Amino acid sequence: MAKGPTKKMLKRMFVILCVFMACFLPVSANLVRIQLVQHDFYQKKAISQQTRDKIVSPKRGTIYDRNKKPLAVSATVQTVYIQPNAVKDEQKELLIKEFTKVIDVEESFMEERIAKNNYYQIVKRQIEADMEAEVRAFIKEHKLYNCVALTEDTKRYYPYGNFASHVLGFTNIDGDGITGLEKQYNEYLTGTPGRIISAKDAKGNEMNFKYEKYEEAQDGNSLVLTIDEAIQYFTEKHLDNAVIESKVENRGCAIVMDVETGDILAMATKPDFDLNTPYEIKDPLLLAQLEEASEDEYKSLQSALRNDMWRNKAVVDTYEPGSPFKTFTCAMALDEGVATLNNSFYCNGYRQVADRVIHCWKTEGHGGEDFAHGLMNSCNPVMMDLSQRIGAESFMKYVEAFGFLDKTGIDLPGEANSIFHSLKTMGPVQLAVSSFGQTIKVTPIQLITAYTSVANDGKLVQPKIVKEIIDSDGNTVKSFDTKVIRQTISKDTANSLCSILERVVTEGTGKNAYIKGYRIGGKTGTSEKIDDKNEEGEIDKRIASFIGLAPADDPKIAVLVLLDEPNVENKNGSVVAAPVVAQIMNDVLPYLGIEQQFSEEEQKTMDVVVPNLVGYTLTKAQTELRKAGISAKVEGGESGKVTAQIPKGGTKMPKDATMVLYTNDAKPEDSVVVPDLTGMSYSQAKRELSRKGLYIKFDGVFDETLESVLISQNPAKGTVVDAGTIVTVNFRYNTNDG
Amino acid sequence: MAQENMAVKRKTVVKHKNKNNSLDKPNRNGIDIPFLVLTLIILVIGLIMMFSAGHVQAQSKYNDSYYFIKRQGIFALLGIIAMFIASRFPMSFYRKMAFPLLVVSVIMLILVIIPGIGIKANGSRRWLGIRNVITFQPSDIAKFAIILVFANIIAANYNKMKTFKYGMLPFGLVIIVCCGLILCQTHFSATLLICFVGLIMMIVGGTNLKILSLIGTIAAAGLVVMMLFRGYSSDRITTWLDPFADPSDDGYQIINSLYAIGSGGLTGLGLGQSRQKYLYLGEAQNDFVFSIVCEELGFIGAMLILCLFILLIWRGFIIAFRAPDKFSCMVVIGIISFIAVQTILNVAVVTSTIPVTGISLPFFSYGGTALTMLLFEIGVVLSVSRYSYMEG
Repeated sequence: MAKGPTKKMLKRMFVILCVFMACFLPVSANLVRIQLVQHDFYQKKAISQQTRDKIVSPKRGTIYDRNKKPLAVSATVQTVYIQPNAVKDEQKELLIKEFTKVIDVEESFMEERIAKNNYYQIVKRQIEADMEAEVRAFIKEHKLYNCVALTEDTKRYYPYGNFASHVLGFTNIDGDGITGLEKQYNEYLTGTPGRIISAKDAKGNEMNFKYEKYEEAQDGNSLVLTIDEAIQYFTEKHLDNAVIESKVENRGCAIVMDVETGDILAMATKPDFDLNTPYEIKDPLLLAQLEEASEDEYKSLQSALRNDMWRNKAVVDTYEPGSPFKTFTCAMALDEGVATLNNSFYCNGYRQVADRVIHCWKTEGHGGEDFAHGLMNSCNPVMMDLSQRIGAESFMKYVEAFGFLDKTGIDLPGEANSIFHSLKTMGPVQLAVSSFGQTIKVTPIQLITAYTSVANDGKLVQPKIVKEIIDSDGNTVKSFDTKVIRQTISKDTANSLCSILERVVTEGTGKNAYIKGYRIGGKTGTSEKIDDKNEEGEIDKRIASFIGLAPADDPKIAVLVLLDEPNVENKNGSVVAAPVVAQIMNDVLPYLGIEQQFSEEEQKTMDVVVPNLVGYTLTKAQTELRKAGISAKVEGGESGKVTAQIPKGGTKMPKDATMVLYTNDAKPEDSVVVPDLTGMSYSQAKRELSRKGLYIKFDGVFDETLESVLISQNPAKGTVVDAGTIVTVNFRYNTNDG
Repeated sequence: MAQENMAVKRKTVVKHKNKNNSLDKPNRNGIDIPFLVLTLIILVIGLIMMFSAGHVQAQSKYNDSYYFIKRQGIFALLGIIAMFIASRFPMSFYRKMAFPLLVVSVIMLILVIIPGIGIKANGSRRWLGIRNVITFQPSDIAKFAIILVFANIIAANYNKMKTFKYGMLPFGLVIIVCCGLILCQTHFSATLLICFVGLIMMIVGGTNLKILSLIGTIAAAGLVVMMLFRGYSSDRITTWLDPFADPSDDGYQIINSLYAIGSGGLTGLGLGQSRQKYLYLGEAQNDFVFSIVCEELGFIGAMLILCLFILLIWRGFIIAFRAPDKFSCMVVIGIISFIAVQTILNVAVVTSTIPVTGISLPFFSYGGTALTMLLFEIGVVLSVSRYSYMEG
């Protein structure tokens, strides 16, 4: 028998060898698949695992006002992150118990982050300098370099807090615009992020070999707005006061617009919110609603209220314009030639249209009136007559021309569409009520834009809020020129209307909008919220508005103030909204350098500086006063030297008031107590004050033929003042309008 | 070509019977040079790649990049010495040592599962020796002892191998005792290897294939049942089927192995340029060294290394074919089968061809005493080659 391997053994060995060789086949096939076929797939996966892709956030562009005053800026802040897989067991306690206090986060939150066991977990975003210093000190003190670090981030700041909050809007924590211009121009503002790609090992440390790529971040572009910081400030101040004073329940808004360029100089909605803390609800009315909510509703109500709070009322909400729309009905009539300024009308207090009786706001009727008085009186029957003459077809043609059927195209997010009757649904009744601005709905921005065409020789311009976009080096990327959309009415028609609108303020329903020295035109509005009835089914809610143009002879700006649901006794636009426009104009017109022009009547009541006459002989003093045009009476004898005077030298007094000179021993009372003037007429107040040795000065138009009530005085009653002090008083005319 | 070799082989076997009757008398041609050269080439490449794959881990764990390579290098040197010594011993010596070594192995396998004596690492108690100085796995010794014993039984009872009593029973007993003990260490991969190699030796040794396949079926069924009951292994199957399903835990190793292999592409990232070894692949110097080979040397390098292994196996079989006697032949078959099965399983695991089992790659994976033992066994093969006939 063979000692070596037998034939059978050799055969079996050969088979085994073949099996071994064969076993390498599937393995090699797998190598082909993984290394050659799926190479790209695995390489991509491997590289994404092996590299750290650090995003370098670009700096978001600044939002400037028209004079390059920054309104929204981005600053570099720090974000704190931990490296959970590098946290040593003995450091865990420290991080959870102590470090959480430094960065002000929950202990459980930190615990969760540490448990993640990867190399990058953000624990606190966007900390500012003081907290950054604390964090750095903590890291140094406890030697946490291995697991806690800071990285740069950018944060949005709004230096003026709630200033122009609805226009500017805000960003989320990732720097994306959520509302307002931040949203509208997010693409421009954002910029392009840069990247640093570097190799890291499984524990997140840098690998030995070089594997780095750097792409620089491209900072975002900046916006230069048409908004003027000062005008915005004036507008917000007066609107805010009005909303509080008139107990406005559904917010108010105001727009100031340059009628020639379409530049929005100011746009405000009140109450507003702080852009730095946009999620915080501060409005007491909203907070009260929130308090009543049950726990289940709380979250959804809170988010609904926030959304309401962020709504830019001037652009995204529609309302029934009411009387201000009458201007357009008049414009149509004049432009179509179906009426002239010489036409006369008769208002008996109502009109029968089809089967409906439609009343004038003045139920006893205005009687006979001409075209201008029809608008000045805001007379509904006149408008109905005019609209009938114009006809539905032309009426709608003009409605479209004035831009009421399209969005204005203002560069703000969420502009609403108007609601109008179509030509098909426009019956005689619809036409009649549309003529005075009821049953239709427009946005405030649509209304003011249409008005600017009246003010701007009939040229309708597109409203705009951004003047130009500039890059981080200040070069212009894009500029927005004035865009004239169309001629709505002829220049003559426009001019005629402007002068009628001025008369609305000087003689008609808009007296509360008058300011001394300026020619203001405007139209009041008080519209019923017909789809918002109270529990008894009555339409008791009103929208009070006033639209003003100034200077009326050559308008430069238009101002619209709208107060939604004022909750005071007299809800008329002439009473609650017109004074707000006057206050805004009173600040804005001098700011814009528009010169005051005074009428003769007004010049009489202007202040003069009183010369110091103490020590003069009486004759010399009287000569001086004659030169200055000041009248005086003398106490203490008609000879000798002047020993005292009221008012004192160097102070001001109304030019038509009388000065008092004291001679010899006669002495004026040193100080007097200001009396309560509330409810008095002008002449009553004047008499009362001069009895006390005080002078009167009034704001607004003075018309003794109208019923007016003194509503405020400065200094207040009971104040002790020097004799001769001027007490400024404010009257409000209790006028009504349509 | 193998067919041709076998034909030549048969002739030489006949010649050998006439010319050389003594087992102890060395062949004048000396040891098989191609086998030795292949071994040394693979060893050198293995050391270089182990160093490349493991230095990051060494730096991270021991704060010394050279920690692994220093130890592996020393054991490789010891191994080469052991290899030459082993090649000088006649096969009769190994045949005498077979049963005593098995007894010693069984004793060590018992000792290693006793807590306090067996050294525990990575959750398994598999080592004997002095911790952190020199340790070895008794299963490595047992493996060699089993080869010697199996070869001895086959050589002694070759004519009765077809019977159950001689061809099956003794092998079965040895495997049940040894593998049972090794399973106590939860050393699944060593058990699998021993079973595979035992099976191959029995097949070559002439065991009745019908009985063997019956037993094999039962064993395979048992294996499946065992896998199902032990989550440790059945989880591995799930992971193998879809490594991305659980990337954080079980799938992590295999995913990172695939990332390494895949990103190597055709030509690789270059020697030393692996990125996956930066602690992504936890066992880069150990079971997953081949992944790093693929990443650094690419498909071309990986295939070249596989070809070297194929050549080594082929050359080993040539030595077995030419062996002077059945015992020598079976010993060579056992040792080469060990290398072959281990290589195939390891590469299959890292390429996700089969589930993860934790089998190291001969000559490449870190493991000092295992490398020394392997080189010693190569020496035994070389010893056999001394007595083989060279054609021509």
